[in-house]
Amino acid sequence: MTRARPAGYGIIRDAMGTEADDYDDVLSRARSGDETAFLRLWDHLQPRLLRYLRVLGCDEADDVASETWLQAVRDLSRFDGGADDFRCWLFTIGRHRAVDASRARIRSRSRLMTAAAVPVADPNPVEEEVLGGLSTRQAVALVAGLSPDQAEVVSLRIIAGLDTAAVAGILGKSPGAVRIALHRGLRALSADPRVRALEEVDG
Amino acid sequence: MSTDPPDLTEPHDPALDGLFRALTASGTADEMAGRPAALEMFRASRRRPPRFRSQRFRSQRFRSQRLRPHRLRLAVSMGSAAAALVLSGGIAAAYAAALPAPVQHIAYRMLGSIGVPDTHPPAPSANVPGRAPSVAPTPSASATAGRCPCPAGTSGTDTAPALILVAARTQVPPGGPDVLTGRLAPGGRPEAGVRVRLFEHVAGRPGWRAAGSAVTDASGAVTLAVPHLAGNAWFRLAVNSTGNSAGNSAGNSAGRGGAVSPPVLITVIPPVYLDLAPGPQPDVDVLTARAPSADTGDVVVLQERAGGVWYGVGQRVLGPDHRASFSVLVPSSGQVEYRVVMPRTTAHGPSGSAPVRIAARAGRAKTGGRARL
Repeated sequence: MTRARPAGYGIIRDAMGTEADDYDDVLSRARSGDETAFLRLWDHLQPRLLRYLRVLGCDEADDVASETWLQAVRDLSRFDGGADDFRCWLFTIGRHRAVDASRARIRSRSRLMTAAAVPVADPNPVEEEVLGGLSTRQAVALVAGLSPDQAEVVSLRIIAGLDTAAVAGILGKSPGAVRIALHRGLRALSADPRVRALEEVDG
Repeated sequence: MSTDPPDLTEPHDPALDGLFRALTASGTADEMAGRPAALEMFRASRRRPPRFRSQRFRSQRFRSQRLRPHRLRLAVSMGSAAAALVLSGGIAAAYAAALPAPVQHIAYRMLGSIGVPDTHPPAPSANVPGRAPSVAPTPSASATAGRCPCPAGTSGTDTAPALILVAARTQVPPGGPDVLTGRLAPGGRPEAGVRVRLFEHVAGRPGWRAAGSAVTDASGAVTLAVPHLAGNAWFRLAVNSTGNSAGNSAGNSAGRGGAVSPPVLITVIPPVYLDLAPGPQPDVDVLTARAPSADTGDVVVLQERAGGVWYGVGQRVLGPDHRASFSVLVPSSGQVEYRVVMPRTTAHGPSGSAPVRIAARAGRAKTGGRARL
């Protein structure tokens, strides 16, 4: 199975994009078994993958991310594309695994009112939420508070760094619909007073 | 990795730049916590999955159940030794999802509770080079209290072999099992037939205690099953400087300088339950947090969800019955969602309950819906 670069897919030229050529080489070395190269990819994408999964509402974001990497690593030798394609592919896998996890959770949930405890996915939330929180987690929560469509578009565009065409491909929407959802999502975030507070925290 | 915001082509409020920076910030320590496991997974994917039939896998499973140890079970890899050694190799491969799809699914059904993943359809097999698993359980050495007789650093001298230890799961429920995988590979070359020792440091107790030993297989690997964890504990492997070759000449180099692996922390996550019951008044409900595995005096925090974000609205200390109660007002309209979280302590990691929703009741006067604690 060979995955060719889908037509029109591309990546936002964010700070990582300036290193695209470099990451093409890193990906190539990872495919040939270079552990250092793989770790560089993982370091690069894992935080964004986790945040994206949390925006989707994954209770077990760490587990889903692990499954995502497991599948990506398993098929890495047959992956044909550059670093940009790999990022798009990884987040597509992550989205599918998140959907699987959500369905499994719904099936196993017997009742809502008094359910068995589940470990929090991230060891930090408890302390962060109790003690005041960190800006990244707050930011993820703010995006997650958007409507599901807007939240996913914003997270794929901003957190994952995918461009409109790539997001449209993943979500099965038209590029126009993605732009509209992004515009509305960003407008809603701009109007949220907590965004200003977050800015103050960052500042 | 830079934390600059993305270069959006769409117009957006500059006030969002701070938000973008936060969303694309470098990974936190917790986000990067799975790095060693990811590396081990990557290594495992480069090895050839073991080839044995599912029936054989089942038979080995039943055979191994008769070998239940009293403390820690150490699984020792011995190359292509006896068929009785297959099970633990199967476990290691199962953790890496390196088994053939049908076998992987069987392993998931049997061992899913301790972290073995299922196969995902479609499950194409990767084109990976060979691997020689086959590890088997052996009784652990007698556990004796004492300091870890290894260097304080995470590895030995420059000439010492590199020794690593990875946990299949870094978080387990109280009493839950876990599997540790170690690898001895100085300079990237696996050392076979070297006896390595496992040390355990239980959180809150002084010193390291010996927990057993095992002998590396042809790939330099050992697999160690931890059947019962009551509290947070660190584990590390060590090869001492006197040499511990177990008869295989390939293991001699391990004895030159000694080595110790970086410690691996396994955190126990106690379950927390949140029960809803009617309160003494019609407009008051009582939420009771239960954490049977936690300690008396541990703090639990009640949180209320608003705008997709959880906010702390009160905290209590668990009593002798491991319970703590909160009284909350029934909302006048809509519904309010609560959960209880328990911050980490020395003995356990953080935990949280499933959410509980309290909905407005018909005919109730509109007096607000916030928590009354």
